[in-house]
Amino acid sequence: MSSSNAVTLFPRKRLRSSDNCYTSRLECGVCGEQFSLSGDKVPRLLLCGHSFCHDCLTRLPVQVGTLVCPMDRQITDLGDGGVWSLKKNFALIELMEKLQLGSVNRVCSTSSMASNESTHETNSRIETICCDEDDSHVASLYCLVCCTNLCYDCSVTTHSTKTLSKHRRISLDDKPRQPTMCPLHQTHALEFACLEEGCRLNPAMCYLCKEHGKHKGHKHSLLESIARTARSTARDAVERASALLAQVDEHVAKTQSVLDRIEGGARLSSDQQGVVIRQQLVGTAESARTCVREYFSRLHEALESQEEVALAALDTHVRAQITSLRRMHDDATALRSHICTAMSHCNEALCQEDCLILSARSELDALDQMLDQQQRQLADRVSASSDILDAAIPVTFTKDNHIHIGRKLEIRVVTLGLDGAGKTTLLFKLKQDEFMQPIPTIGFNVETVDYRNLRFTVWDVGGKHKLRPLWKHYYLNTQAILFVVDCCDTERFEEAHGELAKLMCEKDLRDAVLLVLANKQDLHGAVSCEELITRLNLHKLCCGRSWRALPCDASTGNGLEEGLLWLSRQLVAAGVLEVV
Amino acid sequence: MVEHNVQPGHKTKRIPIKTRNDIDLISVLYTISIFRSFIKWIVRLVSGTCELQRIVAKCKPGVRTVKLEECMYRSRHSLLRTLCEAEPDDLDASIKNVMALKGIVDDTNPRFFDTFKCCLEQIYGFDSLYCQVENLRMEAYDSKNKNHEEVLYKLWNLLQPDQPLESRISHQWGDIGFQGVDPKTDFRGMGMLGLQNLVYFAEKYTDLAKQVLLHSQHPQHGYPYAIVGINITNMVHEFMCNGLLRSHFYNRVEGRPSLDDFQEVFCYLCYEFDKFWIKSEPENVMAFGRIREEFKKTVKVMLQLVESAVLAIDQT
Repeated sequence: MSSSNAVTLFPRKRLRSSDNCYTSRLECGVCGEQFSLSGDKVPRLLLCGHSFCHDCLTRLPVQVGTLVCPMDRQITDLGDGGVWSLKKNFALIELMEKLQLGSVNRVCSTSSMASNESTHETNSRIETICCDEDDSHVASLYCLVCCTNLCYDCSVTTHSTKTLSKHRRISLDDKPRQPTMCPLHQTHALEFACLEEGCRLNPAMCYLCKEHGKHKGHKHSLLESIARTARSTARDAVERASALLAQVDEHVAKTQSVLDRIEGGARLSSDQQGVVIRQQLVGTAESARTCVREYFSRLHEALESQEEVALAALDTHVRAQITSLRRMHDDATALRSHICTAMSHCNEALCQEDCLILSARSELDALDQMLDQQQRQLADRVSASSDILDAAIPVTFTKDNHIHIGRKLEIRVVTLGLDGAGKTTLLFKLKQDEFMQPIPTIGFNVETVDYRNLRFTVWDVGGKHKLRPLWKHYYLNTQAILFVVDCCDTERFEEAHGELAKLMCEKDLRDAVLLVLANKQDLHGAVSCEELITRLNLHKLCCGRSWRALPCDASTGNGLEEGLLWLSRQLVAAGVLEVV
Repeated sequence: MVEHNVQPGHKTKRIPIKTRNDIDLISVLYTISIFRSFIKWIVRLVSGTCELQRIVAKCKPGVRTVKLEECMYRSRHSLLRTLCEAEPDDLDASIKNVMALKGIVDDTNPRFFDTFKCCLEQIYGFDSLYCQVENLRMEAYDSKNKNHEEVLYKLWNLLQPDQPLESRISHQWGDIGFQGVDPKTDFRGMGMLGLQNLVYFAEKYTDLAKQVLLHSQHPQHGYPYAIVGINITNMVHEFMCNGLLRSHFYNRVEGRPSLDDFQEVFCYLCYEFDKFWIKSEPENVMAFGRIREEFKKTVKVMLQLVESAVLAIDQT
């Protein structure tokens, strides 16, 4: 049974229209106001059968203890009690009570039933029942004896005779449900439902069908009970459907609102005074776009300023170099002229006679000495200014776009790790490419390691427990950390993790790149680099900085080259390495 | 103490001897063999004695061995060179051969044979000591080896007799200057040599060792005693490897030096380092590297003074 059909079955749907109908009827003929169950507007009955409200009756002129009906001018005697002695119209009061009850029921049922269906939809589905006397009227009553639907007026007119007026008429709401007749046996109502699989399509049957007809011998049950379960199923379905509908509505609304927010545009909204304002809202797409534009414009600005700084630095460098070269050039020219003079003197002396040359000997000796001195000076100058005499201007950039002019880019690296991890061995392997006999480092070692166009200044700090608090003195300006882990010493991974976690929190190391070296890979029982990453939870620990874990073994030097390569890639702007 | 025998056939590379610090023109020319042979020939003609004889007769004991070794090493006779390289089976016969070669007559030089033999024994003794030390160094500390463990416990009991060790793995090891809770990780490249040295110092000079330990435990200006000891072992080992200790042993020990003599050097350096450290007034332990280098330089200078190079604790 579909839900739309089910809705029509419920009497409450008709009530709305009939309710309106009654309320128009149940009002006083004089003042036109609605009757009430008690008080001034209680309906009182005149002898002629008309009812008026108490209030109106008291206003009617009383002529010698009698009242004249304003409708048909029949006279009703009033007792000593005056208007109060008139009987209340209890039939009307009862009717009103029922109506009120019905409306309460309606409210209850509406709230219990699918309340979210729009009023518009409900109205369109209302099935109005016409009056059997006149199709233009709307029925509101039902005569139990005549089995007819009647409107109030027709009920009065058709049941005006003495016999007919005894017919019990009830509100259409209370109309007993009419049993549906069997299509095969018109006189028998469908009372049973067949439970056989074959009769699923048309299970309803009457007594005759059950006993003698086509459902003879079939399993059966009472139609009413089956219908009840079907009804409850339908009700459940309705409830579920309405809940689902609510969800879908919510979802739709949400989608729409998200769409609106992304797209932005004009929006009408009312402020606190109820004035409708047209608001131009910026969609999130647009604001994100602005964000990107702003970021890149800032980046452009920053890059431009960095470029200026770099160019300025380069200019200063070139100017200084040119100045000193000029000076050198001038000096050399002066020297040249000196030497030329000396040479000419010597030549002159050569042409002199023997005795004259002897007298000029001291002068010549002085010249000789001067030549010696100047030769030495020149040699000194050339050796001292070997870098100035190089026309090449090697330029390198760090990752943060700082220019570096010169052959080597200096980088400060700190080697850290637990004691016995192999830091010192690593350092000396890098430095001298030889295996040193490992001994515990007390204090620190520092060495410079040249790699391509980089010069790493590597600080190796002892890993002893008591020394670890002193590590922090080596953090300042550190561009890279080499964290060495002994892969064979699995028991101390937790300790290593703790130390690394402390390092990651250090403010001075915020911008330092991290290279975790999984050392001692050559030894038996060493944990692989991948496992080390998981064991130390590096992905989480080093989140937000450039880091890498590499396998290596310091005693043979395997993997160190890759480590240096990675470090240089991290610290030097891309593409510059290949320039050198 | 655990005994270690030098494995026969264990080869050590010939340690080039370095005795001179000041290089002048003469010594440079002297090394040029033609010039040297010429001078020797003239001197021999004049004095009638060979170089070996002159060295044996004139030089003081320690310097004698150093000079003899150098002389033999540079000799053009393969007999002398091989005699210098490795110990022959019959030493006496070899010496007689040398004497015959050089025309040295026993009657005119009655002390030559004994002195020469003594010098040779010193040279061989140094080489075999080097083997012994190297073997001991290469013996890694093994916590499963009972003997090793006993030595470790012995060290504790000698240095901290009043405090019983709570357990094998304990933070107490930090009190005597190990890095962690288990000292085994600290011996590393120095192996059992590092441990034996520490034990020898604590056993023979218990009071001195305790005094040094006490100094090292200063909260601000202290240093980790045990690993500094291992560092010093490394230093002694280095001196041994580059031959600087030869002059010490030749001066100090008549005949073949033993492991104890090696360990005496260690004790001396430990004791002296402690004094040096206190004198340097370091800010904290981070200055260790610098101070160690300075100390090493001082010791090197001492060892290079061939005639007076003796590293021994003055017990008076």
